[in-house]
Amino acid sequence: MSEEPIKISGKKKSIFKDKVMSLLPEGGNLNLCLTCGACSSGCPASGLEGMDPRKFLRMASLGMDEELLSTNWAWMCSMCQRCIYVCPMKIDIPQLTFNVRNSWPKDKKPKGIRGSCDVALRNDTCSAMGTNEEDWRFVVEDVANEVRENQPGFEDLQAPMDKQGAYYFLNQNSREPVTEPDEMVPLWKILHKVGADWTYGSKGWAAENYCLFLAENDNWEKIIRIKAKAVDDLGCKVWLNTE
Amino acid sequence: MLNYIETGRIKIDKTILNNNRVAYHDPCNYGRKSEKLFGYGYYKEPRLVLDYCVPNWVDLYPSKDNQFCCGGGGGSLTTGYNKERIYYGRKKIEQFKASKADLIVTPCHSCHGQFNNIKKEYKIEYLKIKYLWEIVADAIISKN
Repeated sequence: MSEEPIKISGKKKSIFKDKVMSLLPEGGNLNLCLTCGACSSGCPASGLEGMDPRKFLRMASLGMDEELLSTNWAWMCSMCQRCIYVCPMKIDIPQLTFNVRNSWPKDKKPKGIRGSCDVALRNDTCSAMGTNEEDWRFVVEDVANEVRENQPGFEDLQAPMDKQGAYYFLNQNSREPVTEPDEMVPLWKILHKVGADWTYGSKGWAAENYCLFLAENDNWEKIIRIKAKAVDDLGCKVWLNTE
Repeated sequence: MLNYIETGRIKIDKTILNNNRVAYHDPCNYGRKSEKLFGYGYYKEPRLVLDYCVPNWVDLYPSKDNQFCCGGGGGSLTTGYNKERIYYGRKKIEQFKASKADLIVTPCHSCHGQFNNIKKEYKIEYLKIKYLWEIVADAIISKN
Protein backbone atom coordinates (compact mmCIF):
# COMPACT_ATOMS: atom_id res chain seq x y z
CA MET A 1 0.00 0.00 0.00
CA SER A 2 1.28 3.47 -0.72
CA GLU A 3 2.06 5.80 2.16
CA GLU A 4 1.03 9.00 0.42
CA PRO A 5 -2.36 9.66 -1.19
CA ILE A 6 -2.04 9.83 -4.95
CA LYS A 7 -3.01 13.25 -6.27
CA ILE A 8 -4.53 13.54 -9.70
CA SER A 9 -4.43 16.91 -11.37
CA GLY A 10 -5.97 18.24 -14.56
CA LYS A 11 -6.97 16.08 -17.47
CA LYS A 12 -6.30 12.38 -17.72
CA LYS A 13 -2.84 11.84 -19.14
CA SER A 14 -3.84 9.13 -21.57
CA ILE A 15 -6.21 6.27 -21.44
CA PHE A 16 -4.79 2.81 -21.88
CA LYS A 17 -7.97 1.39 -20.33
CA ASP A 18 -10.10 2.51 -23.30
CA LYS A 19 -7.79 0.64 -25.66
CA VAL A 20 -8.10 -2.55 -23.60
CA MET A 21 -11.89 -2.19 -23.36
CA SER A 22 -12.17 -2.01 -27.14
CA LEU A 23 -10.50 -5.44 -27.33
CA LEU A 24 -12.69 -7.27 -24.82
CA PRO A 25 -16.25 -8.59 -24.94
CA GLU A 26 -18.40 -6.13 -22.92
CA GLY A 27 -15.23 -4.09 -22.47
CA GLY A 28 -14.23 -6.59 -19.79
CA ASN A 29 -16.64 -4.62 -17.53
CA LEU A 30 -13.67 -2.41 -16.70
CA ASN A 31 -15.93 0.60 -16.01
CA LEU A 32 -18.12 -1.18 -13.48
CA CYS A 33 -15.88 -1.21 -10.40
CA LEU A 34 -17.72 -0.56 -7.12
CA THR A 35 -14.37 -0.33 -5.28
CA CYS A 36 -15.54 -2.99 -2.81
CA GLY A 37 -12.12 -4.65 -2.66
CA ALA A 38 -13.30 -8.27 -2.83
CA CYS A 39 -10.71 -8.83 -5.57
CA SER A 40 -7.84 -7.56 -3.46
CA SER A 41 -8.77 -9.20 -0.18
CA GLY A 42 -8.49 -12.68 -1.68
CA CYS A 43 -5.67 -12.10 -4.14
CA PRO A 44 -2.39 -13.75 -3.14
CA ALA A 45 -0.53 -11.08 -5.14
CA SER A 46 -1.97 -8.21 -3.06
CA GLY A 47 0.84 -6.33 -1.36
CA LEU A 48 3.51 -7.14 -3.92
CA GLU A 49 5.06 -3.96 -5.38
CA GLY A 50 2.64 -1.95 -3.20
CA MET A 51 -0.08 -3.08 -5.59
CA ASP A 52 -3.30 -5.05 -5.59
CA PRO A 53 -5.98 -5.77 -8.22
CA ARG A 54 -8.29 -2.96 -7.14
CA LYS A 55 -5.49 -0.42 -7.16
CA PHE A 56 -4.30 -1.69 -10.54
CA LEU A 57 -7.79 -1.15 -11.98
CA ARG A 58 -8.22 2.26 -10.27
CA MET A 59 -4.97 3.41 -11.82
CA ALA A 60 -6.31 2.39 -15.22
CA SER A 61 -9.58 4.23 -14.57
CA LEU A 62 -7.78 7.38 -13.47
CA GLY A 63 -5.67 7.39 -16.62
CA MET A 64 -2.44 6.81 -14.69
CA ASP A 65 -1.05 4.99 -17.68
CA GLU A 66 2.58 5.63 -17.00
CA GLU A 67 2.40 4.05 -13.53
CA LEU A 68 0.10 1.26 -14.74
CA LEU A 69 2.34 0.29 -17.63
CA SER A 70 5.56 0.38 -15.68
CA THR A 71 4.71 -1.64 -12.57
CA ASN A 72 6.40 -5.06 -12.37
CA TRP A 73 3.23 -6.28 -10.67
CA ALA A 74 1.84 -7.18 -14.12
CA TRP A 75 4.41 -10.00 -14.10
CA MET A 76 3.51 -11.15 -10.57
CA CYS A 77 -0.24 -11.46 -11.07
CA SER A 78 -0.74 -15.00 -12.36
CA MET A 79 -3.98 -14.08 -14.19
CA CYS A 80 -5.72 -16.90 -12.29
CA GLN A 81 -9.11 -15.18 -12.59
CA ARG A 82 -10.14 -15.62 -8.96
CA CYS A 83 -10.80 -11.87 -8.83
CA ILE A 84 -13.36 -12.16 -11.64
CA TYR A 85 -15.32 -14.84 -9.80
CA VAL A 86 -15.45 -12.94 -6.50
CA CYS A 87 -16.26 -9.62 -8.20
CA PRO A 88 -19.95 -8.62 -8.04
CA MET A 89 -19.49 -6.93 -11.44
CA LYS A 90 -17.35 -9.68 -13.02
CA ILE A 91 -14.57 -7.28 -14.01
CA ASP A 92 -11.82 -8.84 -16.12
CA ILE A 93 -8.71 -7.58 -14.33
CA PRO A 94 -6.58 -10.50 -15.65
CA GLN A 95 -7.14 -9.23 -19.21
CA LEU A 96 -5.97 -5.82 -18.07
CA THR A 97 -2.84 -7.52 -16.75
CA PHE A 98 -2.39 -9.40 -20.02
CA ASN A 99 -2.66 -6.24 -22.10
CA VAL A 100 -0.28 -4.36 -19.82
CA ARG A 101 2.22 -7.20 -20.37
CA ASN A 102 1.56 -6.92 -24.09
CA SER A 103 2.36 -3.21 -24.08
CA TRP A 104 5.86 -3.67 -22.59
CA PRO A 105 8.73 -3.34 -25.08
CA LYS A 106 10.06 -6.81 -25.73
CA ASP A 107 13.56 -6.12 -24.40
CA LYS A 108 12.13 -4.89 -21.07
CA LYS A 109 10.01 -8.00 -20.46
CA PRO A 110 11.41 -10.49 -17.89
CA LYS A 111 14.35 -12.32 -19.39
CA GLY A 112 13.42 -15.85 -18.32
CA ILE A 113 9.97 -15.89 -19.85
CA ARG A 114 11.26 -14.13 -22.97
CA GLY A 115 13.92 -16.81 -23.35
CA SER A 116 11.35 -19.61 -22.97
CA CYS A 117 9.26 -18.12 -25.79
CA ASP A 118 12.27 -17.54 -28.04
CA VAL A 119 13.63 -21.06 -27.58
CA ALA A 120 10.22 -22.57 -28.37
CA LEU A 121 10.16 -20.67 -31.67
CA ARG A 122 13.49 -22.16 -32.72
CA ASN A 123 12.24 -25.55 -33.82
CA ASP A 124 9.06 -27.40 -34.62
CA THR A 125 8.98 -29.33 -31.36
CA CYS A 126 7.89 -26.01 -29.70
CA SER A 127 9.88 -27.06 -26.64
CA ALA A 128 10.69 -24.14 -24.34
CA MET A 129 13.67 -26.18 -23.16
CA GLY A 130 14.99 -26.51 -26.67
CA THR A 131 14.57 -30.29 -26.83
CA ASN A 132 14.89 -31.40 -30.44
CA GLU A 133 13.08 -34.23 -32.22
CA GLU A 134 15.94 -36.70 -31.92
CA ASP A 135 16.40 -36.27 -28.15
CA TRP A 136 12.67 -36.44 -27.57
CA ARG A 137 12.31 -39.69 -29.52
CA PHE A 138 15.27 -41.18 -27.69
CA VAL A 139 13.99 -40.33 -24.18
CA VAL A 140 10.49 -41.67 -24.84
CA GLU A 141 11.78 -44.96 -26.26
CA ASP A 142 14.38 -45.32 -23.52
CA VAL A 143 11.86 -44.79 -20.71
CA ALA A 144 9.30 -47.09 -22.38
CA ASN A 145 11.96 -49.81 -22.67
CA GLU A 146 12.78 -49.52 -19.02
CA VAL A 147 9.13 -49.90 -18.03
CA ARG A 148 8.71 -52.98 -20.27
CA GLU A 149 11.76 -54.62 -18.71
CA ASN A 150 11.19 -53.74 -15.07
CA GLN A 151 7.48 -53.38 -14.40
CA PRO A 152 5.37 -56.55 -14.25
CA GLY A 153 2.05 -56.24 -16.06
CA PHE A 154 3.44 -53.67 -18.49
CA GLU A 155 5.66 -55.89 -20.69
CA ASP A 156 3.72 -54.72 -23.79
CA LEU A 157 3.55 -51.04 -22.91
CA GLN A 158 3.94 -48.74 -25.91
CA ALA A 159 4.57 -45.00 -26.15
CA PRO A 160 3.76 -44.53 -29.83
CA MET A 161 5.47 -41.81 -31.85
CA ASP A 162 4.04 -40.31 -35.07
CA LYS A 163 1.36 -42.98 -35.35
CA GLN A 164 -0.64 -41.94 -38.38
CA GLY A 165 -4.39 -41.73 -37.79
CA ALA A 166 -4.27 -42.27 -34.02
CA TYR A 167 -7.38 -40.99 -32.24
CA TYR A 168 -5.54 -38.98 -29.53
CA PHE A 169 -2.55 -36.70 -30.06
CA LEU A 170 -0.92 -36.26 -26.64
CA ASN A 171 1.17 -33.22 -25.71
CA GLN A 172 3.88 -33.37 -23.06
CA ASN A 173 5.40 -30.57 -21.01
CA SER A 174 9.04 -30.55 -22.06
CA ARG A 175 10.35 -30.32 -18.51
CA GLU A 176 9.54 -34.03 -18.11
CA PRO A 177 11.66 -35.58 -20.84
CA VAL A 178 14.51 -33.32 -19.77
CA THR A 179 14.39 -33.43 -15.96
CA GLU A 180 11.77 -35.95 -14.73
CA PRO A 181 11.30 -38.56 -17.48
CA ASP A 182 9.67 -41.08 -15.12
CA GLU A 183 6.78 -38.69 -14.60
CA MET A 184 5.61 -39.46 -18.14
CA VAL A 185 4.94 -43.10 -17.28
CA PRO A 186 1.71 -43.00 -15.19
CA LEU A 187 -0.36 -41.60 -18.03
CA TRP A 188 1.14 -44.13 -20.48
CA LYS A 189 0.08 -46.91 -18.13
CA ILE A 190 -3.53 -45.76 -18.02
CA LEU A 191 -3.68 -45.34 -21.81
CA HIS A 192 -2.09 -48.77 -22.22
CA LYS A 193 -4.49 -50.52 -19.84
CA VAL A 194 -7.58 -49.13 -21.56
CA GLY A 195 -6.16 -49.81 -25.02
CA ALA A 196 -6.42 -46.15 -26.06
CA ASP A 197 -5.44 -45.30 -29.63
CA TRP A 198 -2.95 -42.50 -28.98
CA THR A 199 0.34 -41.06 -30.15
CA TYR A 200 3.00 -38.49 -29.41
CA GLY A 201 4.28 -36.43 -32.32
CA SER A 202 7.93 -35.75 -33.06
CA LYS A 203 6.79 -32.23 -33.97
CA GLY A 204 4.59 -29.90 -31.95
CA TRP A 205 4.61 -32.17 -28.90
CA ALA A 206 5.61 -29.64 -26.22
CA ALA A 207 2.60 -28.65 -24.12
CA GLU A 208 3.84 -25.31 -22.82
CA ASN A 209 3.45 -21.97 -24.58
CA TYR A 210 5.37 -19.17 -22.89
CA CYS A 211 4.71 -16.78 -25.77
CA LEU A 212 1.15 -16.66 -24.40
CA PHE A 213 2.35 -15.56 -20.96
CA LEU A 214 4.80 -13.15 -22.55
CA ALA A 215 1.69 -11.63 -24.19
CA GLU A 216 3.20 -11.78 -27.65
CA ASN A 217 0.11 -12.47 -29.67
CA ASP A 218 1.81 -13.20 -33.00
CA ASN A 219 4.26 -15.70 -31.56
CA TRP A 220 1.60 -17.26 -29.35
CA GLU A 221 -0.45 -17.89 -32.49
CA LYS A 222 2.59 -19.13 -34.40
CA ILE A 223 3.26 -21.79 -31.74
CA ILE A 224 -0.38 -22.88 -31.71
CA ARG A 225 -0.41 -23.20 -35.50
CA ILE A 226 2.72 -25.36 -35.54
CA LYS A 227 1.16 -27.65 -32.94
CA ALA A 228 -2.21 -27.79 -34.69
CA LYS A 229 -0.47 -28.65 -37.95
CA ALA A 230 1.37 -31.52 -36.25
CA VAL A 231 -1.99 -32.91 -35.06
CA ASP A 232 -3.54 -32.49 -38.52
CA ASP A 233 -0.55 -34.00 -40.34
CA LEU A 234 -0.99 -37.21 -38.36
CA GLY A 235 -4.75 -37.12 -38.93
CA CYS A 236 -5.54 -37.31 -35.20
CA LYS A 237 -9.05 -36.56 -33.97
CA VAL A 238 -8.44 -35.29 -30.44
CA TRP A 239 -5.62 -33.08 -29.23
CA LEU A 240 -4.88 -33.75 -25.56
CA ASN A 241 -2.99 -31.19 -23.52
CA THR A 242 -2.85 -31.86 -19.79
CA GLU A 243 -1.51 -28.42 -18.90
CA MET B 1 -10.28 -41.11 -16.98
CA LEU B 2 -13.48 -41.11 -14.95
CA ASN B 3 -15.17 -42.93 -17.79
CA TYR B 4 -12.40 -45.56 -17.89
CA ILE B 5 -12.92 -46.25 -14.20
CA GLU B 6 -16.72 -46.18 -14.26
CA THR B 7 -16.94 -48.56 -17.19
CA GLY B 8 -14.44 -50.95 -15.61
CA ARG B 9 -11.77 -50.58 -18.30
CA ILE B 10 -9.31 -50.13 -15.48
CA LYS B 11 -9.67 -51.82 -12.12
CA ILE B 12 -8.72 -49.84 -9.06
CA ASP B 13 -7.25 -50.98 -5.77
CA LYS B 14 -8.55 -48.38 -3.33
CA THR B 15 -6.31 -49.47 -0.46
CA ILE B 16 -3.04 -48.10 -1.88
CA LEU B 17 -3.38 -44.75 -0.13
CA ASN B 18 -4.97 -46.12 3.07
CA ASN B 19 -2.37 -44.43 5.20
CA ASN B 20 -2.41 -41.03 3.53
CA ARG B 21 -4.52 -37.97 4.00
CA VAL B 22 -4.99 -36.50 0.55
CA ALA B 23 -6.16 -33.01 -0.46
CA TYR B 24 -7.14 -31.82 -3.91
CA HIS B 25 -6.10 -28.53 -5.53
CA ASP B 26 -8.15 -27.12 -8.45
CA PRO B 27 -5.91 -25.65 -11.19
CA CYS B 28 -7.31 -22.44 -12.71
CA ASN B 29 -7.12 -24.01 -16.17
CA TYR B 30 -9.43 -26.90 -15.22
CA GLY B 31 -11.80 -24.71 -13.21
CA ARG B 32 -12.20 -20.96 -13.59
CA LYS B 33 -10.56 -20.60 -17.01
CA SER B 34 -12.40 -23.55 -18.49
CA GLU B 35 -15.68 -22.27 -17.09
CA LYS B 36 -15.12 -18.78 -18.47
CA LEU B 37 -13.89 -19.87 -21.91
CA PHE B 38 -15.99 -22.94 -22.55
CA GLY B 39 -18.87 -22.59 -20.10
CA TYR B 40 -17.90 -25.63 -18.02
CA GLY B 41 -15.48 -25.94 -15.12
CA TYR B 42 -14.09 -29.39 -14.28
CA TYR B 43 -14.69 -29.43 -10.53
CA LYS B 44 -16.77 -32.58 -10.16
CA GLU B 45 -14.80 -35.04 -12.32
CA PRO B 46 -11.45 -35.04 -10.52
CA ARG B 47 -13.28 -35.38 -7.21
CA LEU B 48 -15.18 -38.42 -8.47
CA VAL B 49 -11.87 -39.93 -9.61
CA LEU B 50 -10.52 -39.39 -6.10
CA ASP B 51 -13.63 -41.03 -4.62
CA TYR B 52 -12.75 -44.15 -6.60
CA CYS B 53 -9.05 -44.19 -5.74
CA VAL B 54 -8.56 -42.63 -2.31
CA PRO B 55 -10.22 -43.72 0.94
CA ASN B 56 -9.37 -40.53 2.80
CA TRP B 57 -9.34 -37.30 0.82
CA VAL B 58 -10.49 -33.79 1.71
CA ASP B 59 -11.11 -30.52 -0.05
CA LEU B 60 -8.94 -27.53 0.67
CA TYR B 61 -10.75 -24.47 1.93
CA PRO B 62 -11.69 -22.47 -0.06
CA SER B 63 -12.13 -24.73 -3.11
CA LYS B 64 -13.45 -24.97 -6.68
CA ASP B 65 -13.98 -21.50 -8.22
CA ASN B 66 -12.78 -19.90 -4.99
CA GLN B 67 -9.62 -22.00 -4.90
CA PHE B 68 -6.43 -19.99 -4.36
CA CYS B 69 -4.08 -20.08 -7.33
CA CYS B 70 -0.81 -21.99 -6.82
CA GLY B 71 1.18 -18.93 -7.85
CA GLY B 72 3.16 -20.77 -10.52
CA GLY B 73 0.85 -20.01 -13.44
CA GLY B 74 0.86 -17.25 -16.02
CA GLY B 75 4.56 -17.79 -16.58
CA SER B 76 5.42 -16.99 -12.94
CA LEU B 77 7.86 -19.89 -12.75
CA THR B 78 10.07 -18.21 -15.35
CA THR B 79 9.69 -14.46 -14.74
CA GLY B 80 12.56 -14.45 -12.24
CA TYR B 81 10.45 -12.85 -9.50
CA ASN B 82 11.07 -15.83 -7.25
CA LYS B 83 10.81 -14.11 -3.88
CA GLU B 84 7.45 -12.72 -4.93
CA ARG B 85 6.29 -16.09 -6.27
CA ILE B 86 7.12 -17.75 -2.95
CA TYR B 87 5.31 -15.00 -1.04
CA TYR B 88 2.32 -15.54 -3.35
CA GLY B 89 2.31 -19.23 -2.37
CA ARG B 90 1.83 -18.52 1.35
CA LYS B 91 -1.93 -18.88 1.01
CA LYS B 92 -1.53 -22.38 -0.39
CA ILE B 93 0.71 -23.35 2.50
CA GLU B 94 -1.93 -22.10 4.96
CA GLN B 95 -4.57 -24.15 3.14
CA PHE B 96 -2.35 -27.25 3.09
CA LYS B 97 -1.59 -27.02 6.79
CA ALA B 98 -5.26 -26.47 7.70
CA SER B 99 -6.24 -29.57 5.69
CA LYS B 100 -3.73 -31.73 7.61
CA ALA B 101 -2.99 -33.49 4.32
CA ASP B 102 0.31 -35.26 3.66
CA LEU B 103 -0.33 -35.62 -0.06
CA ILE B 104 -1.59 -32.92 -2.45
CA VAL B 105 -3.14 -34.00 -5.75
CA THR B 106 -3.43 -31.69 -8.74
CA PRO B 107 -3.63 -32.35 -12.49
CA CYS B 108 -1.64 -29.28 -13.59
CA HIS B 109 2.03 -29.09 -14.43
CA SER B 110 2.53 -25.52 -13.21
CA CYS B 111 0.79 -26.16 -9.88
CA HIS B 112 2.84 -29.34 -9.40
CA GLY B 113 6.10 -27.48 -10.06
CA GLN B 114 5.21 -24.52 -7.86
CA PHE B 115 4.14 -26.72 -4.90
CA ASN B 116 7.30 -28.80 -5.03
CA ASN B 117 9.33 -25.62 -5.14
CA ILE B 118 7.63 -23.73 -2.29
CA LYS B 119 7.32 -26.68 0.09
CA LYS B 120 11.08 -26.47 0.57
CA GLU B 121 10.90 -22.73 1.21
CA TYR B 122 8.19 -23.18 3.84
CA LYS B 123 9.92 -26.21 5.36
CA ILE B 124 7.12 -28.71 4.84
CA GLU B 125 9.16 -31.24 2.87
CA TYR B 126 7.03 -34.10 4.21
CA LEU B 127 4.29 -33.05 1.80
CA LYS B 128 4.05 -35.19 -1.34
CA ILE B 129 2.73 -33.70 -4.57
CA LYS B 130 1.19 -35.96 -7.21
CA TYR B 131 -0.66 -35.62 -10.49
CA LEU B 132 -4.20 -36.94 -10.57
CA TRP B 133 -3.24 -39.54 -13.18
CA GLU B 134 -0.35 -40.72 -10.97
CA ILE B 135 -2.90 -41.54 -8.26
CA VAL B 136 -4.94 -43.53 -10.78
CA ALA B 137 -1.93 -45.29 -12.32
CA ASP B 138 -0.58 -46.28 -8.89
CA ALA B 139 -3.94 -47.82 -7.98
CA ILE B 140 -4.40 -49.86 -11.18
CA ILE B 141 -4.71 -53.58 -10.60
CA SER B 142 -2.47 -54.75 -13.40
CA LYS B 143 -3.67 -58.38 -13.68
CA ASN B 144 -7.12 -57.96 -15.21
